[in-house]
Amino acid sequence: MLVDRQGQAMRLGDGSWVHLDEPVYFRMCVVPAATLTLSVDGPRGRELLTEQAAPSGCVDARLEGALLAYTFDRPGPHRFVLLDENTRELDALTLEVR
Amino acid sequence: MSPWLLAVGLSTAPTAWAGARGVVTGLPTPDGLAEAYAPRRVALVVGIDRYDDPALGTLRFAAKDAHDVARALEDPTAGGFDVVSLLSSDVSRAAFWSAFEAVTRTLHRDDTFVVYIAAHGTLDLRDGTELYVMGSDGRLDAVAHTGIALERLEDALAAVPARRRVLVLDACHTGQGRSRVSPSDLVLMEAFRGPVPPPTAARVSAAEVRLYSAHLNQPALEDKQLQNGVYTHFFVEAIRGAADLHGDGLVEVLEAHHWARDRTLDYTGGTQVPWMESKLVGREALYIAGDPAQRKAAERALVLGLEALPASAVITVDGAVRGAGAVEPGKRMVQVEVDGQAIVDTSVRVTAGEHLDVGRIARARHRHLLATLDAGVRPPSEWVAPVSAGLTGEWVPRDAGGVRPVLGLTAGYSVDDLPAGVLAMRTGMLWPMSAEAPLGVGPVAEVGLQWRVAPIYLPEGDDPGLLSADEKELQGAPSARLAMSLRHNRGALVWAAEPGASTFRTDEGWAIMPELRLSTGWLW
Repeated sequence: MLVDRQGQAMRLGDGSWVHLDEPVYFRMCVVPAATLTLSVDGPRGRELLTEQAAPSGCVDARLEGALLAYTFDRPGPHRFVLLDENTRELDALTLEVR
Repeated sequence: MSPWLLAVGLSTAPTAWAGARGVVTGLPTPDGLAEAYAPRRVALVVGIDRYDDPALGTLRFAAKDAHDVARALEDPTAGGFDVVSLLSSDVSRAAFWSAFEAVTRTLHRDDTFVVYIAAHGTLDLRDGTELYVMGSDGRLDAVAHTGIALERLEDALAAVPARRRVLVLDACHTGQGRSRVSPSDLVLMEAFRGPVPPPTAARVSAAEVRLYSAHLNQPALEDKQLQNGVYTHFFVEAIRGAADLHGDGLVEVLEAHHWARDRTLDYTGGTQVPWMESKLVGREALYIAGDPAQRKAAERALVLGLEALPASAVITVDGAVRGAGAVEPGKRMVQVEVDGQAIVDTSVRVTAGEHLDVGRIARARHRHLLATLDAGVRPPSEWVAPVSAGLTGEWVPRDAGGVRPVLGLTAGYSVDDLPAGVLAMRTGMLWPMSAEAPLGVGPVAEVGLQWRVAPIYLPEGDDPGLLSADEKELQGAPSARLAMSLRHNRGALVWAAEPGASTFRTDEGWAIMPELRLSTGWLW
């Protein structure tokens, strides 16, 4: 995951923090190819971000062809979860929103 | 797309995002997006030489080792790592884990992560063998609670998101060198009949390499002359390009380890034996120095394959005794001696990037039996058929290069109305023909018996003529053959052409006729 911090892309990791006004971007990796579901568990509950077919390797999360970003409306922990079509959890990462 | 997702998308997909929350698209792409996602090479380098516990004492060069490794890794002309995080001298266990977590937090899948540690090692034998490295606040009388457990470190490394991971540990667990052992464990160690049993082997994950400066029961030494831990000294040499044997600007982790291992063994006279564990799948390569995207064309050829030779083998290239390593392209004289006996002595032409496998050459030279299937052609005559087929077996003594004597036996069968053939002993000289010299040439000679089944004629003076069409006898006559053998081999597969002449005795004297024999066979 990346965050747009004052116009500059910066990497995020599990436990990283972001500001409320900072959009985050996603690159999803899977081997072999699969249909991936990206969702977030936040203060508002679970929210589905995107569901897209991903080739084997890494692909940016997109919505209708455009690069997908996510912005926050509440502080607190947000856990982003990547699932495959069998709802198997491939990856998860928690951000602390300030 | 699920209805839920559609609803989210419709409600939160503005092209201008001010005020929007949730999923958005159409935002201006932040600068450096591609660079942020690009694979990175990240290292955590730790050297601990100050210890609070007097029982551990201090190390002389652990911090310097870490500085040297860090400098080599971050040097753009050597390691070229993107991020090198250095902890040295006084590093507590908590500080180590905190740095480990901070450095690895933002690693991505295609990154490379190296963790290097030079420190005191120790072990705990109370419940099996548990290995530790010690932070500055570690206590020898409470290792399990104050040490950095190697098993936990290996687990943490395996859990790092980066796909390529390397652990380099310049420490040991013997109570000597970079190690101290508690008195109670010393008593247990002395009670063992033989070496301390190894801990349960932690599984190495895919694309992971673990390098250890010393085997479990051997010391990791520091050296005043080198001003380093011995293994680290040569490992830094390797990162700085000494192990770039091909001259392609890259040093693969295993190349670096082999470089440091061989020199550590030589320098310590075998007292310190480095070892490694790795799981590299397929063509996966893990580079400790250089950027694979910037790979240069190889400038040198590589001598390797020493593992296939006895430990006493001495390899000489162009008269200089050497181990594995790089040689300039061109024609090189290669000799291998085992216990004073030359088993390879040959000239080889090598090109840049080529691997000259001396082990394979030596193995190929052990092959000394050749079996071939032959086909012969010669002008039609009343004595022998124009086409023959045969089998030849040859013994070629173990080759050290140069001329090889040949001894053999050949049996041929002429394709004609009546059975005929030849059985002959064969000898010759062949130069050089071996796995690395695919062309061979030399004279061969055969002496034997030409035989045929022929109708019986009455001797002259009696009633000449055929006794009977059905009356036949086996006739034999001495024969000889002289030929030039031209051979080509690809590995053990051999093709040969032998133009020459045969002679054999007939009722009317010696017959001589040209013959071309073509063969294919296998070297055993």
